[in-house]
Amino acid sequence: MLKRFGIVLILSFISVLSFTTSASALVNYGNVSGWMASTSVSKIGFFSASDIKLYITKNSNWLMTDTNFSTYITHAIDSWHSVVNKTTSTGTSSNFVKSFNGIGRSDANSLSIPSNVLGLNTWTASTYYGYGKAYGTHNFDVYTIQKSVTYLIWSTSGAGKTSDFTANQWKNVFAHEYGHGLGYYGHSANSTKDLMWEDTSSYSDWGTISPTQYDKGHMGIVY
Amino acid sequence: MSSKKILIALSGTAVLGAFLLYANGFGNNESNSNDSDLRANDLVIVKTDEKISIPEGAIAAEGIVSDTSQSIEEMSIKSDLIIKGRVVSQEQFSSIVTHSTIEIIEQWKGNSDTETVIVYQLSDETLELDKQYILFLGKQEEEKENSYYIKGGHQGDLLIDNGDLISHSSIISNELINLASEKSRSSRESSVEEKLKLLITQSN
Repeated sequence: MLKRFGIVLILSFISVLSFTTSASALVNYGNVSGWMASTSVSKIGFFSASDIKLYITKNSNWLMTDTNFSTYITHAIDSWHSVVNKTTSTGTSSNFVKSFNGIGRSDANSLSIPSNVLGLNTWTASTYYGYGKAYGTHNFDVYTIQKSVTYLIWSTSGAGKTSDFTANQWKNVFAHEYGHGLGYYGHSANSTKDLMWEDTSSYSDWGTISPTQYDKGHMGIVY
Repeated sequence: MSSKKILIALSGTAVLGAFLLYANGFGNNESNSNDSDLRANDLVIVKTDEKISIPEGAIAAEGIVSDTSQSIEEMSIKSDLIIKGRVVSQEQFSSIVTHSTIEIIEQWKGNSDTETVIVYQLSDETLELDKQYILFLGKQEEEKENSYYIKGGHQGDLLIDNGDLISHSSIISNELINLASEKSRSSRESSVEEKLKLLITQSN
């Protein structure tokens, strides 16, 4: 009798749990504050995994030292940590959540990436999770990101030259791309001083190397 | 039901509840830290010379560029080719890159021998098919002669819309507003497009 009662109890729990999971309809975020991306942007994403497994690669065209590469990645993770509250650990090519890949301009050319792009990010798998509204009129969709991949491009010449970047410029680029990787879709329309502004031209002037309160506010919508 | 059975059932519920709370991260003190738990010395960098390919299923592609300008004049000087053109076709090169074919209507700077140019863009920032633009272009490296990218990302594309020029860049938009309000020196330069053309030809 006792055994049967226990089984019934466990089965009830499982069925309630599976019902709440399967019945999780799209989440309505309502009318949010803090949206800083351009109003042409209609997406925002977030990592659903509680632990961000990192996978870092470089090829022979990526000429940054491993010490600097590691330092800039750690800086990027640290600078967003207070917003996302995730742990980080070492992943593999098959189980990573976030990857950083150091490549050269010739590799970028083979992928047809515009010559002035010095870093880019893609979400490689994601699920439609919810929706919301900013400023009372701007509709946006929310996605969970399964994996995101960042490419950083080492270039010795041309419009996308990076070989002469200072440490602060690189820190900005890494933190910016990590922001995209975490779900910041598009770019800030708020201020040229936001980390998520679309270009690096002013980085050497003002030296910001971390997300501003506005960058954090935007990502705070989903984290 | 005996009180013993009720007690066992309640205990089972409490254990399961505690497990669910634990699974959802209750009492996770790690989030109080401002730093991540992985330090630079812990990172593993894998060296690989495998051919790079864009992962399947990419739905977003945002880049960062280094060649934005502080004025139209600066952008004009930095550009290899400036044209007025119409987007006649688009090809998805990969999940993250789009090639747009632009029919040249007028050439304001540079020498293109072809009637069309191909513009390389990340797929989330593409020009609109059939629309006309003023385009500030740079030569795409290691590509065919008529292959270009847009200067400053979106900064170098101005949409022509019912006689107005629309820019994504606040710097360029403000300059276009000032340009539109400037008194015309002749009836030929009455439109903002004509004034921009004059400014560009004078800058180069």
